[in-house]
Amino acid sequence: MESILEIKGLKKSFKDFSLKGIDITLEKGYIMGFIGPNGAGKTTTIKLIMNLMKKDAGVIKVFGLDNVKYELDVKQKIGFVYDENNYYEELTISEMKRIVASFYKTWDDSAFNKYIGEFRLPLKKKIKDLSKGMKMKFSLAVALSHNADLLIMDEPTSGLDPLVRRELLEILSQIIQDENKAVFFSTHITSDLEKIADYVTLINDGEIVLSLEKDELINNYGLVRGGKELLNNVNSKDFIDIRENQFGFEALVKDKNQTRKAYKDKIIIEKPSLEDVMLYYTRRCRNV
Amino acid sequence: MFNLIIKDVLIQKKQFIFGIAYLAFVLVAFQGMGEAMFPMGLVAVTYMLSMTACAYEEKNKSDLLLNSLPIKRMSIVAAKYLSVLIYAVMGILSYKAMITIINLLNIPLKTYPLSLEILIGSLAAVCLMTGIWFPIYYKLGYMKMRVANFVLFFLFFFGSSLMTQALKSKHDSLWVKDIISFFNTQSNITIVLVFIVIIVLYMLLSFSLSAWFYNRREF
Repeated sequence: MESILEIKGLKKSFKDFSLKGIDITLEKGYIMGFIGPNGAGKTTTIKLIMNLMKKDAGVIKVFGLDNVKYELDVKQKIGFVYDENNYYEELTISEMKRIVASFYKTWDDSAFNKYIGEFRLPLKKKIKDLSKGMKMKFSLAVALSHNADLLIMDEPTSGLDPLVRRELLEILSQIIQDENKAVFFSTHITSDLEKIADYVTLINDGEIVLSLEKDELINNYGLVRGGKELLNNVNSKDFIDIRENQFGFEALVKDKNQTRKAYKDKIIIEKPSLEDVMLYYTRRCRNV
Repeated sequence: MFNLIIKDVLIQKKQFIFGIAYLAFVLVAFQGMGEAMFPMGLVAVTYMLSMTACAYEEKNKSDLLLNSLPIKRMSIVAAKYLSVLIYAVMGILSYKAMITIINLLNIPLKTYPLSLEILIGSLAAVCLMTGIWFPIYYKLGYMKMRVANFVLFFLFFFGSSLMTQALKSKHDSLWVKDIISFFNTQSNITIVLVFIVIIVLYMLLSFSLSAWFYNRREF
């Protein structure tokens, strides 16, 4: 399979935070959810991919090309949606479109008009008068109207109501029907990804904690519950992290079948949500 | 790049009307200044428009957008420099239109036709200002640039009077004499050409500096 996005040993240091040599690979035809708590390094990674920041070390290849050396070629094929609106608030949708469209060689006006119609966006309205959801939809319409093969989204759903979020997710799953495209989607709202992501990459404190197929993660990982008396006899190495409460404990394990064999009916095992996985991993890092 | 200039014009529709109104005000209120009113008005208007354009970039965090689009950073900077020229041309045209109207309607105001010297002098003044503050803007961003501008403004005013005094006191020194004799012996055309070459070189240097700073910025 051909990688659409390949990151190797990416490093970037700031005064109080650093990206510690991360690796990410995303293949054609898939949606990768990039999750992690606030300040984990999601936006920094995306800014490095977009060459908005300069990396200290490492390699970023988009469509097999170096993202800095072939910056303009690469950006022709990337659609982006950021968490905040960065379009000129003083312009109307149609004025802004005209300006943005002029930079893309493969701008498709009919696709843009189709999305504008679908999203019910008023062309003559100034961007400052649009709601947050409408601004995001406008960004999405722009991102989808120049035949981009890679869609990069940085927290596009933050601050949106569930209805708009659902709409966005439906559009993403439509796009991915085209197997030449891929979506790299950062979020801390993990429930968005349960429905659409093929891969999940978890970043915490500048390090990739895990990068897996979502189904593998949901099927193999387990959320274990057991009584307090068991706590003295368990091997804490079997668990990613353990949370104690009044009645017993709850823990995340990598291989639920192995855990089931080891503890048999002393424990209850459930499927974890992505949020559980994120919480347990990030807490473990803090505890360590 | 042309579209980046259009964008700067489109986001400032109101400021353009204000700019024209300001030029009209200068024409009426600074009658006593004579020909010098135009360079002053033009510098003020282009300064206001280019500052506002940069303020809008800051407000909308547009660097994120522009640098995510397939545009070279150099083109973003070049568009800002060229947009100043567009503001200046618009200023010149509206001023011309105003004096034509005043003369046609016989309005009792003194008008001064734009001579070539005044025109070049005005453009040079605009370039002088732009050439200093764009590199500061691309190095520091809009907010910090405003502070730097404040300092520059005073340096410029006090500096220019100090320099005039210094030049006067050194009236007899050799290099001042050399310069004066050079200008005295050359034809007007040569002087204008030398002047234009200096301004062009100065703007190229300023642009290279701005582009260099902007290339190193992180967003």
